[in-house]
Amino acid sequence: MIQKKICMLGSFAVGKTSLVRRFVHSMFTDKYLTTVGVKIDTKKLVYGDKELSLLLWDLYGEDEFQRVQTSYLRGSSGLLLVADGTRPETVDKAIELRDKTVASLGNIPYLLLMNKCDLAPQWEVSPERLRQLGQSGWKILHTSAKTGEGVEQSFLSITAMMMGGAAK
Amino acid sequence: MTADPKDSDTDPTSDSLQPTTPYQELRSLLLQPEHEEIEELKRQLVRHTDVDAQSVAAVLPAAVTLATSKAEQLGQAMAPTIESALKMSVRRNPEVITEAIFPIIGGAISRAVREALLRLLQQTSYALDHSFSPRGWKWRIEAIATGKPFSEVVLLHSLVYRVEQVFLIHPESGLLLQHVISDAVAGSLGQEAQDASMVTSMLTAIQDFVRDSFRVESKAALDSVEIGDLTVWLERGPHAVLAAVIRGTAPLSLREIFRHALVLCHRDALDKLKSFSGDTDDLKEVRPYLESCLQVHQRVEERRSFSAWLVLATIVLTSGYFIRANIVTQRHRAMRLAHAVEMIQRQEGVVLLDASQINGRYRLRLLRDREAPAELDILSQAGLRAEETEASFTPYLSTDQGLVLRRAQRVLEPPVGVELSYNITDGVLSSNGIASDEWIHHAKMLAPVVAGVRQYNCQTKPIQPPKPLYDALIEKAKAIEAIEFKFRAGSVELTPGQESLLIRAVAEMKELLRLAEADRTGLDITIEVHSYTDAIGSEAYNQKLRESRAKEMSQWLGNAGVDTRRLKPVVPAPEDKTRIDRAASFHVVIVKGPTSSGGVP
Repeated sequence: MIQKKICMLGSFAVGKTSLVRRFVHSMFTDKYLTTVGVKIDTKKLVYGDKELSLLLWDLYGEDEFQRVQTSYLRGSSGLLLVADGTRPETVDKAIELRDKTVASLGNIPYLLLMNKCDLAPQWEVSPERLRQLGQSGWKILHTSAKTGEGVEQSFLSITAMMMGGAAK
Repeated sequence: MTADPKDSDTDPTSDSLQPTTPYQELRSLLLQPEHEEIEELKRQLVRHTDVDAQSVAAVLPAAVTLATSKAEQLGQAMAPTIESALKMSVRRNPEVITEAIFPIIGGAISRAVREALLRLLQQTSYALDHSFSPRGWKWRIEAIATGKPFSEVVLLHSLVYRVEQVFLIHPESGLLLQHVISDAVAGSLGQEAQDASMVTSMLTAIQDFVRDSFRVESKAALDSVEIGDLTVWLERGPHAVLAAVIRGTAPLSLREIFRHALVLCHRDALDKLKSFSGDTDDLKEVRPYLESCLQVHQRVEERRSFSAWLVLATIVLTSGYFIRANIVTQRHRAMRLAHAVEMIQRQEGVVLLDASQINGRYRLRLLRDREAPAELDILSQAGLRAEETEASFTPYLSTDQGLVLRRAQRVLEPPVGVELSYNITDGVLSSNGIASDEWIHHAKMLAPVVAGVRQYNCQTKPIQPPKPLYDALIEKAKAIEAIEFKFRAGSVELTPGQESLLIRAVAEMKELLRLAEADRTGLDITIEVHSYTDAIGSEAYNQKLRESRAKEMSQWLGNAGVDTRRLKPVVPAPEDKTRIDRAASFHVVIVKGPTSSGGVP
């Protein structure tokens, strides 16, 4: 069995935990998020002919009161940066977190998940902004933890990126 | 080219290339370039044998790096040199090496010391708890017997634990490297056991959280997590962390087992640990080391040993009981046999040849006169039961006084009124009283042939009185002689229920005496009162008892109205063992009195 550690990063209340909950079987309660600052879930899937176990580290959302503990990031094979389309500042935070992670871990595969696409009419993040990000190398997917749209695809994409990376 | 004169002396080749002849000139023209190359190579060769340290120093680091990256040959080649260099350095000045390695081993030493102290504390605390209990004393004895410190023995018995799961964790990512689970808990954990990777990740996260939250030094780490009866002990290595889930209270020495397993994991799979990419299959080879950590210490064994002790104690006690019971039984049997031998030896007409006791049975070999009591009576009087005795009786003729007399009585069949006596000293059998002419004649014929009788002295008189009176007397005398009284053991008192017999005896005796008085021939009637005893007790005592019984019985009869002048207490001689019984009987002797004027037989 192959295991991969993926960290979910993003601002407070962008929907990281909800996305994970949509995708996985949980063993621990969400209470850990507020106590230890991280909650870990697994998702088992088959990739090619390999059995894969994704360890999803759902980190407490970073805001002005709490910083992401960088020690949680160690050993990660991939990042899922989550932003809320209704709050433009969460995109900035995602970029900041990506930079911070790359600084401590080096280049690892990452995806930006623009969550809450069920609320697309209320989005304040402009398509132009996202296009620019895409041009600068960001891979972006639209998701909705509420409807489940794009959730499975997001996790499968980051898996493919990680496994492809490993094969390099 | 011009040749050096010196060279021309020593170098024939140079000489040969001088263009002194047309051939040499041609040769020089054709081979000159090659000749110059050879000369240059020679010069380089001379230079390289004289190679200087500086040029080696310039290339050495690059050369070593290249050699190390290609194979381990360089390491193998250099190892002996480095080892001897280290030895030499330590010999010369140990402080240099000590200072160099202190950062590495300093932490390890302080940790080892800390654990040793904790272990001591754990032992002491348990020892104090159990010092004065009954179990404590048992352990104290065990400590003395085994030579172990008391505290260690206490700890050994007190601790009950089970290592339920062991995780090998990738220190950076918290990913699971390997996981083993005790068979005892595998079933109960079910699905949760499959999510071991989640557990290791969370455990790693908690460690990070604690370290980050309390700003401890970067290398410090969580040693253990305790929740109720469960403890998670963590051992860290450079490339793997071993986490053991323990239920119960484990000794700190268990950590040494974990540490050893972790060292073995690193030894065998160092490269795979270093380059771990998430595939647990790569590390299956370390599973046996982790499985060796699934230690169990249960008090069940103690119970087993307790029950073993119980069984052993039961066996010992039972054996002891039976041995003791056997000894008691043997002693009892020996006493019974001695008593039986004594009783048989007192019995007239019986000779004991041999007596033994084998496997709980008595074996006797005896001689028995046919006048002696029956075989079973002999045994029962000796206190032996037939079912526990094997007795072989051989017939013989006894010359004992009582036996000869009894034999004579059987042969001669003396009628009532005749008394036989036998003197063992001279072997004379005498008869007294009155009897018919036929009997007197018959006795004279048979008496001398009775075994043991040397001579017969007949004092019996022929019957004188008229036939009817005599017959009446004989009838009364028979009735009286048929009466027998029984005494209590060791006493002159009669056993209860003989009152009517007493009344009848008195009546018969009075009638006998009245009839005799009516006879004018002047018959002299004597009623002998004979008394006996059993064989229990000393002979002297029994003799005295016989006398008392005869006297008491006579006195009582006198008080009841029987003419005391006619009563005669008779006590058998001590050697007369004819009758062994607690009884009194009567014998009527009728003789012709001195006043009689009639013809007396």
